[in-house]
Amino acid sequence: MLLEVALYLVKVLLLPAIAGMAVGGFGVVTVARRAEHDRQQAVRRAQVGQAMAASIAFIASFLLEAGPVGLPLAERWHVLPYAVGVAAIVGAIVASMRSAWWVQWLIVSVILGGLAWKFVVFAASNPYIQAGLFGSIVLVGLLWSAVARDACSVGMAMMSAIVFAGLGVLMILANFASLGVMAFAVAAALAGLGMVSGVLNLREAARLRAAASSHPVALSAEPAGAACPADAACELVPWTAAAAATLAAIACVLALCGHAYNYGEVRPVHWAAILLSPFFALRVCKPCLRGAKPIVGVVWRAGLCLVVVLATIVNAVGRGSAAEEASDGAAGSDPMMDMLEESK
Amino acid sequence: MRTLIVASSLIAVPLLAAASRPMWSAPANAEAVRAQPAAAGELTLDPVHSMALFRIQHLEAGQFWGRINALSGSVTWPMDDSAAPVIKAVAELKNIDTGSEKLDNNLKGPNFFNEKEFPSITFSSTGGTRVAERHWTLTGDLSLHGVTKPVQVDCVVTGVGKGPTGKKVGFECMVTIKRSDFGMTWGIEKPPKALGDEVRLVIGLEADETKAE
Repeated sequence: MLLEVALYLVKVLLLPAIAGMAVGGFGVVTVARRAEHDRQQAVRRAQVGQAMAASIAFIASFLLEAGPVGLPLAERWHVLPYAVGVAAIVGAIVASMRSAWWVQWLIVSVILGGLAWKFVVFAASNPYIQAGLFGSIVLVGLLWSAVARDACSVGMAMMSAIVFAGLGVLMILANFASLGVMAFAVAAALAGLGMVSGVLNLREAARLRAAASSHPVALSAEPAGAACPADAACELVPWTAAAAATLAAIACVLALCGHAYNYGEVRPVHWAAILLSPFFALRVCKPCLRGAKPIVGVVWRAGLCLVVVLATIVNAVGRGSAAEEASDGAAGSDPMMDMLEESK
Repeated sequence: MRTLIVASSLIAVPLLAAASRPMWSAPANAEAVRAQPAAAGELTLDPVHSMALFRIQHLEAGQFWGRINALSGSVTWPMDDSAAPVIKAVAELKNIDTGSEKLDNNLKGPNFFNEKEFPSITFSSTGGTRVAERHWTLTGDLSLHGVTKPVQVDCVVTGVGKGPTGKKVGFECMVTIKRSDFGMTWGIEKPPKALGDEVRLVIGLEADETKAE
């Protein structure tokens, strides 16, 4: 039985994560292998992979877990693979455009928020909830886009992986295990993408150091305040606001789905805290990270995000345990049980 | 003569009245009861005494039982058993009771019944064939998890009694379904063999004679 469960997890969690990671990682590897002079154009194309990685992992996991879904939908939450697929396409198109970060955020958030408002309708929804979904996609998208400007590709991937893993735990606490597994697949894909980026960035950093030692002029390629990870010269494929806003939109839709079918003790504030947890890493450490190695920035940002996510999960688990104890107490006051106890 | 006519009238009226009494009040003549069916009785399900038990295999080991309390609906059945009962029953999934609140919530969730989208299970019988006295095989439509399928239900009239407000009739129905036919596949293959596909339903119904307003 243990082996069968392990094989099941490999199938619905690990394989989709590898598929997602492969797409995102392929882009990064492609850029790394490019000659320096035509790297800039390749970077924009590689950013398409970042938006796609999470979506491919989610859709593959959904298809392996719940099976293919046709139209019309048998259940409302089966809209998720379509929604995530559309988000990936919109995110990839905007990520490949040459525009300011706030323009990318605005385009992605308004398009995906509007589509979600109209078409992503879960159980017990109403116009206020749909408007709230639009608002959260715009606001969380703004936050994540702003974080993407600061954090390096590794830090951004790790923070978003932590958020999706946190959402997965909340979904399991809400008695929605299937969606939890799908969120874990997304988290694993993003973590894998972060690791691929990290390894390639380290190699690039070593190459830059070697170049600098042989040609001291090359040091000028390192911008002022280079210790800040997103500006580091060794950063091969920095995250665009479009990719970050796409991930934020997917996270908001998954959180609303988990909330709509919640049969646990998970409260709206828990979902919100996890979605907003990257806020605590927003520019917090930029001044203090000057002169530090990029890995320090990753650890600081991912660590701060992780603390918030863990605190939220501990609170949600505590609420669940308290409710369980309360219901056990009620069972103890069953008159039939009392009679049985007395007859002993 | 007038005295004779009055006396014979006094005797004849009760005799004629006795002859015109409904046949069901003559217990000795059972076959005659079937020959002249009584009007179909309209019965309303008593939710307090009506429930559905479901049984499913857990981890290829034990048979796990749960129940759905407080079924509502109606039954149309002639008390003389001259026709099959026509049952329309509704089981609200908010009334699932496995003895564990955690398990109840899990079953209500989208991995199983998806109670928020499909809040009830309904059964409407459309016909039936007699198996034995007060024992019928009913055909009807079972709606579960947003899917409606025809099913055959074994139904026994367990008794006709008298309650404080009128006649009460009991039914016990059994049906075995494959939950995958209704789109409930979680636990059959993914995760593997966590729960069985076959679900046996045992439905206990108690119905009250409906009083005319």
